Amino acid sequence: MLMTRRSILAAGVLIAAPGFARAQTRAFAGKTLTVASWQNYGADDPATLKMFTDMTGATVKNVFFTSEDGLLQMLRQGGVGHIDACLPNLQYVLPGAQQSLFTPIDTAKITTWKDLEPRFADDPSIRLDGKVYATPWVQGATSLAVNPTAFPTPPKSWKVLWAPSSQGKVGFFDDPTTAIMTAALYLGDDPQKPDLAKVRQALLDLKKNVKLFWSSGDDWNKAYTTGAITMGNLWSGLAGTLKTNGTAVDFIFPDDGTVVWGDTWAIVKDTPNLDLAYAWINFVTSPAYFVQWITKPGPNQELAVPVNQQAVKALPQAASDKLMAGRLLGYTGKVALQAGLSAADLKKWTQLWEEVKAS
Amino acid sequence: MTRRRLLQALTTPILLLPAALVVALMVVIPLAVLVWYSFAPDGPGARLSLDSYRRMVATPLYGRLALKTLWTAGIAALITSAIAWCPAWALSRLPARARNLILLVIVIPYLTSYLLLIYSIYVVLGPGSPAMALFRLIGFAGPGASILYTPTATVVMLVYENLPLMIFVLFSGMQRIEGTLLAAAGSLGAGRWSRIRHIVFPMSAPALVSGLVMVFVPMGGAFVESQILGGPNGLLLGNVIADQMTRADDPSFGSALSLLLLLGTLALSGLVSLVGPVLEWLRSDRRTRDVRLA
Repeated sequence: MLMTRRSILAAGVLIAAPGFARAQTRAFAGKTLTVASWQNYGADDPATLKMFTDMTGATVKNVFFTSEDGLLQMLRQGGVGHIDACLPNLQYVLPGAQQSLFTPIDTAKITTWKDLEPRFADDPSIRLDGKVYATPWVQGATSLAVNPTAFPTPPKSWKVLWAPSSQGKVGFFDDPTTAIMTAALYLGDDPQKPDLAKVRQALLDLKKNVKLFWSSGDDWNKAYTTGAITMGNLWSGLAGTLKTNGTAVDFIFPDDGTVVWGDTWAIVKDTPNLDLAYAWINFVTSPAYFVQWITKPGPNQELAVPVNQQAVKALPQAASDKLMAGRLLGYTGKVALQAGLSAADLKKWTQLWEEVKAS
Repeated sequence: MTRRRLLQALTTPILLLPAALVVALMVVIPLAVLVWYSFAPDGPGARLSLDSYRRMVATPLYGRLALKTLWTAGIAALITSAIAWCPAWALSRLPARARNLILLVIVIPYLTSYLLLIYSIYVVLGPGSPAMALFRLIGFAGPGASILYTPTATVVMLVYENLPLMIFVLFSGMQRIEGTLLAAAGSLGAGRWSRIRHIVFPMSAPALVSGLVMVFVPMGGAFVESQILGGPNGLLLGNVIADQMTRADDPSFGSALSLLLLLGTLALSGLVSLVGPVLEWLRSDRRTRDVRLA
């Protein structure tokens, strides 16, 4: 068997994990850590939960939310003091911190902090008044995807979605932040503070070419595989899955930039299990965790690219390719990071997007 | 008052109590919360204001969307009733055994998850489907065309979802029309069309009105159908309300829009319900005039 540097590293991570486990075993015996997350998204993966229990002696109780607003609401309505750790999207860290729902994180206690991608670790949207409120965990891109049959030469710019020849062939993600940031990248504008009047006009122009505003992977798959659409913006994870399953799709990071999202782990205010919450974050951001979760996921687990660069290196090549992990980490172009928007801006952006769709 | 009379007097309120409690818990309280939220743009407990309503009035988009939503639901309800009328009449004339079997078949889509129904419509309306082949054959569609991702697909889906309910309501009304009545009309010289026009249609009109109202109300609040099938021009007010309640995190504005939709739906339902009594009044007025002239 050919042993690549990547496979040796992956094997090393798995061999090292039991050692890490022995060092921590029974440290939190009998304790229960309550974590709030999306269902089927890493925090409830049975095999990795067993790893955590073997390492710490503690058990994990999962509670699930179905929207980011739902998470903040859950914390406001009795979650604080009962839930120990939670999984807010990068856009929701600041609102949570401003509402005093999270505890500041001591980054010196996060053993993986030095390995996190600087794009996320240094991002202002996880900071408030000089304190860090979340540890970046996974990421993904919503970038340009085209059918290679329709485009033998892959396009290099978002301009292709706006071209007159693309009329009725575009599938576009129904999300105000993604839509406005993508339009800003197309216009060459600042995606964090775009000129909304220009963006509005650009989105109205784009709408003439749109066949479908998709809101789930299934929407995209049905339209794409039946030929109803031949291009659009798409999640990197879904593009990887399509390619792995044999569907021809070119996933492109355009020259004018791409939109990137991130999910983070935060410690809930007044947690009775602060040290255990740190142990959890250290575990779920470790290469050992990611190798187990991504290579042998439990049923229906939704996977994403680790923010921990060492974890990406530790992944087997096939698993890494399926997630587009290497391409995402290696991308050096312009990134529109979907980070914390103020409530007023979010309202403004949502209204603009609704006006575009309703016009 | 004797104990027996007291018990008799209390029987009706006691029997109504469970339903009244359910209505209070499931309708009155949520509606009151909705009204309260619509006046609390800064969250419950904060100052009350008309800001959400001002925003609604100041942006013509929402009024336009409300009209578009009511129009879509109205058209879908009318198409549903037009399609349902003949099968319902045929069912009401069938022997009990055959009728029950057919009713069972009709009820199957109604017991199926609406998401499954939505996804099944892909097969029916997709570019290579028999329905589109038929449309191409009669020149209604070009090669490779599909009505998926258009507002028409939303209307088709709403009709498909609500057809069983409409058939049931019409059938239950038509079942009461006695065959002897039609036979008597026939023996007096009334033809088939005349019997339908002067007996079947007027006698089934109350069921038709009930059916229209019953399917129109859920159609007016639909949003998943338009989200998945409606395409770029298929947005309905329900989609905006869902957005406001979730990702825009603005339950106050979402509540104000919900009340707009509720009032619009109630107003139209009320108008439809008035059609029957008005027609009846006009008929009775004409009869009175005819008697006077005679």
